[in-house]
Amino acid sequence: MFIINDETAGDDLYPATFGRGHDPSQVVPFMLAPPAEIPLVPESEWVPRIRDRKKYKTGLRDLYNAGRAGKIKDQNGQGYCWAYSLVRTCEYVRAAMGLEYTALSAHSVACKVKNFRDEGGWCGLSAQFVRANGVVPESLWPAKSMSRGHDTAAAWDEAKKYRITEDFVDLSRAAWDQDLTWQQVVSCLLQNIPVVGDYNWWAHSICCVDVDVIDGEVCIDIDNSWTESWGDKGTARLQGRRKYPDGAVATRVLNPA
Amino acid sequence: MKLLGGACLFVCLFASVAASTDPLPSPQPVTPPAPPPGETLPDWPATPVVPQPMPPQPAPKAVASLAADELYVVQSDDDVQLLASPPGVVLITKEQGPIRVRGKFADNTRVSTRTYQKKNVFIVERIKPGDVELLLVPAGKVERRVVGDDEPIPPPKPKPDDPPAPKPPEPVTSFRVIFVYESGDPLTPAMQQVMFGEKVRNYLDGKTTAHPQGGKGWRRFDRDIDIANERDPDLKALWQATKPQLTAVPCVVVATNRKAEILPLPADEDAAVKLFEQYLSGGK
Repeated sequence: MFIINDETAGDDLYPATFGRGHDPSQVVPFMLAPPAEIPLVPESEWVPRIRDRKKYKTGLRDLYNAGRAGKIKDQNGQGYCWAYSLVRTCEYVRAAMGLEYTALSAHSVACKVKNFRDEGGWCGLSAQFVRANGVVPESLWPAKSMSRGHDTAAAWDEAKKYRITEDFVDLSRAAWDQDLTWQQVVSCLLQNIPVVGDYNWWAHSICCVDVDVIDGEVCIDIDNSWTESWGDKGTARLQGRRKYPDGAVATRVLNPA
Repeated sequence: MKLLGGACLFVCLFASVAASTDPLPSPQPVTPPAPPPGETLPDWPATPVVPQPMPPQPAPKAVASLAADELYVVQSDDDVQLLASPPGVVLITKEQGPIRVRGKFADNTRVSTRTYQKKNVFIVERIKPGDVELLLVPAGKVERRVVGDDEPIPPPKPKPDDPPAPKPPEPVTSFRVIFVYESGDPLTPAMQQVMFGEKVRNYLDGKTTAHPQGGKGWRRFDRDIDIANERDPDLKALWQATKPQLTAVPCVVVATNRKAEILPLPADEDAAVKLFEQYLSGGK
């Protein structure tokens, strides 16, 4: 298990060849005002529920371990983590629906949003785009491809089948400022609703898949997009102060396709 | 003679046995009896009584019934035995012939006396209503076994007014399941155990009807999803048919063959698997 806590040194966090998609100069204030409608799981139930999830293997991490959610993604050293984290939540939602795994192209989202420039962004930005346009499957837009040749009407017609139709997002704020409280993040994960977490300390965005308990503390179980060579086969647990995201959206529903 | 209870009598004679039944052959010539001593009788005519030729006897007619006060007689010079099946309906008395028998015979309506000349004479009398079959067989050449009540009894044939037997369950050729929930509402741990637990997941992965493009034959759907692009056409049709019927969620839609039911979520994973097994076995 790869644990990232307050003592984890920066050198352990970044592969030398990978870019840092999140721009630290864009300081995002920690959001305290939550979207009102997210039902919260009382904190007193968190640990018992997490134990129950482990016992019956009901979590999204269990779906991943069962081979229902594809593989850890590879953002190819580019600054597109904010798209990869969001697209990974879409793949998890499809797995939770019982749909066959279809690899979705995060590069299709990032390239369109940034007009094929390699730039950082926020999960609110990628969520906004996928709600409106969807994601192109990797069968039509291969992974890591920056080619404009894939940017076709047919590809985006197909992408409409992979739109987010319901999510938890604070629409009262700008895309770069959208966040969820810690209680909301944990409540969503306990309901098998994957969350995108943007972390200023890391200048990075990752997919929050599940929750775990380490030394009595509720932690976040994440998928990174730095290949399976990073962390624990591409995954890690966030502990301590570093587990609190600075920006977050939760992806709830995609239509079956 | 009126028959008792409409009972019928069947006679089965083996061809190899020489036997005859009522009526008797032609009577022998009759000689006037000698007068008792001391009694004066008028003179008989001088000419002796010569038996007149009798009209030919009709062939024995088959007797189909035997009343309680009637006799049925079988005689034979061969060494035979007469059996009744089932036993207990008639009484068979074996006599040595020649013998004279007086009574009401099955082929006649009046009391009469008949003489049976052959060596073996069987007198049959009814003692109980019911059909009976008489078997005349060579003595010692038949094995007879009576099956008692402790033997297995074949099931009774259904009567016309009996209710039809229930049809055997139709084989399940298609089995699909959809869990329906509202993604914005919290699920209890028990609900999650049923909808997401490994036991149910593995069971449905193995048992539901897969589609070449659509994958496994089961889903977890938010109640508001748009089904237009679902790859499995049967699941698509199932959702279109059941979505308007949904009331409370979470619930589970179970479809076998072309029939679907919307059910409350089972209490836990064991109850869920048990429920699905009932549908899969055709028991629901």
